Amino acid sequence: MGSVSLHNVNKSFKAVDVIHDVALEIEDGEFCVLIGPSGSGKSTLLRIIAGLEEVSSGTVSINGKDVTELAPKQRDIAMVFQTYALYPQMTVAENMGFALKLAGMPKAEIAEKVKQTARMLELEPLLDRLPKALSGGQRQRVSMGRAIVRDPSVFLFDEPLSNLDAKLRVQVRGEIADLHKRLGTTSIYVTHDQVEAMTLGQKIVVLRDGRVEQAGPPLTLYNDPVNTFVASFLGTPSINLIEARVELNGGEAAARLMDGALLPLGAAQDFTEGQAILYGIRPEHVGIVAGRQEGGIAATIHAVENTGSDMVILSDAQGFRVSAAFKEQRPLEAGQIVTLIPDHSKVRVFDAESGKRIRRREDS
Amino acid sequence: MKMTLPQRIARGLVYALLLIVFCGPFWGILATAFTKNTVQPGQLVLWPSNPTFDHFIYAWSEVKIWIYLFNSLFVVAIATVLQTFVSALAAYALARKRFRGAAIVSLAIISTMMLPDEVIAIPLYLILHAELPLLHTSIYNTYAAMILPVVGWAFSVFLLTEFMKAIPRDLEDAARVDGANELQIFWRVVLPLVRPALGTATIFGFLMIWDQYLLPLIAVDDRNLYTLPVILRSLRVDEVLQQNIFIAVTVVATVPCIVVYLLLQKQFNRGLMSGAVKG
Repeated sequence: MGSVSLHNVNKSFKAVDVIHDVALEIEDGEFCVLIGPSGSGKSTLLRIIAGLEEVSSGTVSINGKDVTELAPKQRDIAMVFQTYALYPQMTVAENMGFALKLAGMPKAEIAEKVKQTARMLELEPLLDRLPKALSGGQRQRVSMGRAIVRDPSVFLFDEPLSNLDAKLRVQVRGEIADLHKRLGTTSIYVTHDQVEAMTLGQKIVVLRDGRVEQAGPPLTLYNDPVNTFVASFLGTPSINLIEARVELNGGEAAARLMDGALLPLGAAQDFTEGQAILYGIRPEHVGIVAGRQEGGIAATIHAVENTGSDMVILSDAQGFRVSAAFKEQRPLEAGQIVTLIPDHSKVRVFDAESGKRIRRREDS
Repeated sequence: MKMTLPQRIARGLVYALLLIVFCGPFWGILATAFTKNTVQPGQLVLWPSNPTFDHFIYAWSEVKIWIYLFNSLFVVAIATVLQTFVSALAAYALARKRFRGAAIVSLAIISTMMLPDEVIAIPLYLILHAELPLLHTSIYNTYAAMILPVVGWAFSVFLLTEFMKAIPRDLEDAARVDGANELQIFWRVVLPLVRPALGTATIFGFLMIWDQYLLPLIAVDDRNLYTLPVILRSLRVDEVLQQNIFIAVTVVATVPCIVVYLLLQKQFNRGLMSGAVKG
């Protein structure tokens, strides 16, 4: 078991700064997901924790011990790679036991540990096979087995499911979650897939351009994003961010959208007259009624995406597009005129210029 | 698609022609070496008349070809092992390590391929004669003089570098996380993965060293240290020696190359093939 702390970590490759002053605390036994778009620095950060990249400044501590200058093997970590990184010339058993062999463990003990781990991952029948004789899912399980057999303080996962097909990804994701529950080992998991992040993580760290945008439990980030980047990065379909201006009327504030619709925002004290905002509402918080109706956004359905379990409506209002999502099937079709009614209590308001969240009294 | 009879005949003829072109000369020297009747210089027979081992026995006992065969085998064995090992180490550094001046080092190594042996003959001769510090002697007229100059070979370094570049970096990282040090990564992870290339480099290196003529000529002047190419040249101009015996010595000089090729054939072919599709 181990906690991981990053203090003011910076990393530059020549003149390019890729990690900016990252500070992060990962509790003992926690499953932490680093998420962000390509180039956000999430893999670099993971490699820094692993000791595969040096920091330009700052410190990395594992279990309270400063490991910044230590080699990977001295950090008591194990890593699962996106490409599996199994040694092609070694059998499954040799791959799993390689680290133990290097550590000088007696052969019998290695064999026992490998067998035990293989049993846990249902890899026993494959122990004598070479990686090339395994399917993608089996290779990924071997890769995890290689990490588990060492019983490290921290597991590091670098986009481990990226090379798997959609069905297998769901299955292995479940296996990773089960393993974490069973072993309780601190895990740091890098992905760009927000579904993986939301389903696996106890803590999600959203990164952009090498900076931490927000860190916290998945639902906190989803429901309470600090800016438009976090709001739009989490959630499929993405949150609607509609340009608007604030209009104050007595003690109440309202958002005037481009099409003229006026939608309530809440208490006037949180806003200024004419303030440019982004009116944020998640698709599942948008109601829909056929025809025109007061107090909503008039729109025409542009497309209906029906996955069977979910229904997504993409509609065009005057000057912007709004999506709505439902769990139940509705008799809606493209070209239909509708009124979209946001759930005002779920609205998230952002400053149009900075993208930062404007907190309303009712948000807290 | 099934071939028609004329197509099959045409294909057979092409194969036969290729076989004659490539194997004909070798068959000629084999047949001549086993022929009892004396042949004239420059003449080969196509079928051995009165087959005999006499020429080989004479070459072994009178010409003492075993001395030169031993010299050649000793030099080629040690030098090939050293050359492959040194090339693999150099290739590992060039392919897997980032260091200042790597491109210049690489270029400098490759540029040595452009220098003909004759150009470096005199400087090499001087170096081989130079007195070594502490030992107060030179390596001239020793096996080392024939071995050390061929230990570093640009072709072998270049070949292995290209193969090592193709190994995913994740494997190295995985080994590092698993606790391997630099030497263990090289020995246990990288080297087994470039086995086909090692086979190819070994065969080419073996042939290059086996065929060395100029180097032994300037590295030693003791006849007992001569290798087969040098003694072949000296026998070639020996007017007393029967042509069949000279040809028998030639056959003996060819056999190790064939044996090595057959031993490493699998790796050699895989090395060439994977090089072709690596992209």
